[in-house]
Amino acid sequence: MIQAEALTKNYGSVQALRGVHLAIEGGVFGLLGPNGAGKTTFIRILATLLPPTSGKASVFGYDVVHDRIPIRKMLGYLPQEFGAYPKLTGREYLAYIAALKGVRRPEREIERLLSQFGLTQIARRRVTSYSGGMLRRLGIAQALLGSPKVLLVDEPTGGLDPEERVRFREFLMGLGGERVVVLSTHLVEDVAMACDRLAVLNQGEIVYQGRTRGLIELFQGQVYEVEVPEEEVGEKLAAWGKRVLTTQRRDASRAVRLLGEVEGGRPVTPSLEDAYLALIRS
Amino acid sequence: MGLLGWIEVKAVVKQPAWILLAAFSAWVFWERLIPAIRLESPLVGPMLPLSSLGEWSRAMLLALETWGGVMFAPVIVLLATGSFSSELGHQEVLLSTQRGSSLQLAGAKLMAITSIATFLIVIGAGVAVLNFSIRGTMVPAGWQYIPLYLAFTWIRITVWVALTMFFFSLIRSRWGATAIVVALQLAAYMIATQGRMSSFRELLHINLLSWNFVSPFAPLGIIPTAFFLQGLLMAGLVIVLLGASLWVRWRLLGWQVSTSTKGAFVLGVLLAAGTGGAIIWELQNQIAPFTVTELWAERATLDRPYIWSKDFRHLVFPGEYIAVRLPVGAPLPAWVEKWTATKDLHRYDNVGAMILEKDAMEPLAPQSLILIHSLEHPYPPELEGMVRRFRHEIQTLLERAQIWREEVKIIFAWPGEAFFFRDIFSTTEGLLVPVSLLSEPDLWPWPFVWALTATSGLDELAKCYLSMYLMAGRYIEEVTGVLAWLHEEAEGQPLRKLEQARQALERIDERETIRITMGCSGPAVLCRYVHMKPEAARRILDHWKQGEAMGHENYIRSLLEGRRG
Repeated sequence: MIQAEALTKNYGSVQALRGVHLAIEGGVFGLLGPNGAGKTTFIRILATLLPPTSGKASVFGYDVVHDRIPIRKMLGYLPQEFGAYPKLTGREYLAYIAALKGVRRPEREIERLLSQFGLTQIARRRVTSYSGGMLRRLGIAQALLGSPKVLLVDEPTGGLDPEERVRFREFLMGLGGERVVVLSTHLVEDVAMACDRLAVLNQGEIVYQGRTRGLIELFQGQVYEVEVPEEEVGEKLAAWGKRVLTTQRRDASRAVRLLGEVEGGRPVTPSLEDAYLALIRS
Repeated sequence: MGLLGWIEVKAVVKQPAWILLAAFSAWVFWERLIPAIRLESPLVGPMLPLSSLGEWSRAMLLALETWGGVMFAPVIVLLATGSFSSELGHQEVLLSTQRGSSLQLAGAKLMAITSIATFLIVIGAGVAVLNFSIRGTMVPAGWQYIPLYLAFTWIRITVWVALTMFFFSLIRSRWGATAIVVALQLAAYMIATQGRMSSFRELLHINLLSWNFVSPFAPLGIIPTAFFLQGLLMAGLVIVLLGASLWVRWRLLGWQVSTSTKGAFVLGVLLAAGTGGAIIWELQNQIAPFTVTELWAERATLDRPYIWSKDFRHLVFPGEYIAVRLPVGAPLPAWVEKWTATKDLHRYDNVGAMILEKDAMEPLAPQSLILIHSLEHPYPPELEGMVRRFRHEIQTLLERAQIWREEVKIIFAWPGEAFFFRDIFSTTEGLLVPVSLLSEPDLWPWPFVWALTATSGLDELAKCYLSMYLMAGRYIEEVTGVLAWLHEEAEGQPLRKLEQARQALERIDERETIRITMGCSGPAVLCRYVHMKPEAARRILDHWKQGEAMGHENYIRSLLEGRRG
């Protein structure tokens, strides 16, 4: 449904994407990677906001360079830094985007989305008075206008408080089905909760693509946990260097997870975060 | 487009800038600060009188030019940039939608902002009707032009909005775009007010600023084709700027420009260039192949109604109310004579002078003025209210002048509008009153009463007295002031001041400065005969004293009898 072949994007001398090959099928797909990995650039190319430097990308068979309008007709997009038309109310803004998307008679759909995302009570307020969470919900509501076949969501939970973040993930989990949802994020929990499949993008290259479970399995038996007394933590972490995946405080010690065997350590089932970090660091 | 436009309208009216625009418009129209642009001089003329619905709506269009444009442009541009800068916050979503980067959205924004701005100007202009001095003379004539002028006002505003859109697309800065557009408008105005209309470039410029010199005498301009072409030219410019704005946006994003954008741009260029070229052709077609000096020296004839001479002196005001300037004694051209059967034609010799040399006040040559109008209307119905007020104002003066002149016919002449002509001439038919004076009641009484004395046959000083007598019938406070001034002149005060100044100048050394003001403080028509002439002032005061002793009417009759004796 979404295909990328040898996709590259350069900003002057900086290579944001380096020959990305990726195939995305239906359902919620996670695009995971650290900041600066090229996720937003990839999403913007799919959203037809940026032309690629070379390579190809297509959405439902439509080329992102030559078939921008057909792609936009089937697209819903929530950018990383979402801002609505500041002069309008929430309801007016949705009507505006509906008009831009060519949605005929959007009133019922707007009311449904306002209700679905808990915005009905504040629909008459100007969007400038919305909190970050309200604005994100308005953002996903606008992205869903016109029932798009493809939904691109870029860092949707960034900057939200924990309650809003959990709420937002729940929204995302319900958006899959027939639709292709690409969730771009650097937060492993977002992908862990919402995605069956994912790709990991690092320094402009895809370093993993497949099932979420598959990434964990990839590092099965390679992740060890060791208890380190608090006074030795500094020395030990320095010695293990990039092998360290995560640390967790436990009373007077720390539980340190590492990639590879370590003296006094015991093998543990890696979490998605362990597997992701192991992948990035290996 | 409709829904998008409506939402954009709602967004625009939520900006406080609209209050500023409405208030500014109301002030401009309440105070009647819309300058008229004359044919003969590029410098702006007196303020428009707003004496009819036609004039009121025409004023909205003209208010956007000259200094009015300099004042309106920033407010309208602020309104526009407020809308465009809002885009920056949600640009990514906007561009990802199928219509987000289309001509359709840009067009909807353009139309919304322009429509609101036009509406606010109309609302502001409507406030003028509350002003009694405007309401008192306003007549409904010219109402049929309202839709046309409003449409052209709308198009004129779209040029500013499209220009703003283009510069905003280019530099992505609200204040930067505002500054550039305002600077452009200011530059256009400054260029227009440089010197006299002595080149084709200046003529073209003034023609555009004045919308082909629209006025009550030429509601569709003096060359209607050029007037309508200007509307199309503006539309072409808007399309060019719209296309260029989208072009810039696409290129800045790194995309190839869409075919529809390129198409719009090319269409706009063709339309603007085509109409611009046609306007130039229309104007050039109205410029005679001879200079005014050649015409006055009878080396050329006005064989067709050329509006301008080769050296851009104005010769003919065309249209329904025709005015022609000819050398005194020159035969009527054949194309003028043909009007004698169907129109009212009058020739007035020695009214005003023609400037024969470009960019110089000298030498001047006497001119004849031929006025041609329909049999029913000696002046446009749009002027009816002003003429009524004028007649009311002068009624007392005419009645008092009956002692020496039984019936005074007032002939309204539009050379004032056409030729920057401001004197009142006493002709055998009556008084030739330039129409421009109708809108300036404060300026006309003294020249008018002076003209009324022309047929008395008395000497100039007696005519000064007659002028004072006429003025006393309606403007007694003016006469009181003049009497005080005459006493000063009779006592030789200005002469003494002059002598003191001369002595001071003799004593002055290089380090000192001295400021001497020796201007005449009396009415201009009297200053000519009285200033620095104590004997003349005493003579006039004697007339006045005898008039008061005998009764002015009796004394004037005795003066007239003495003349006959």
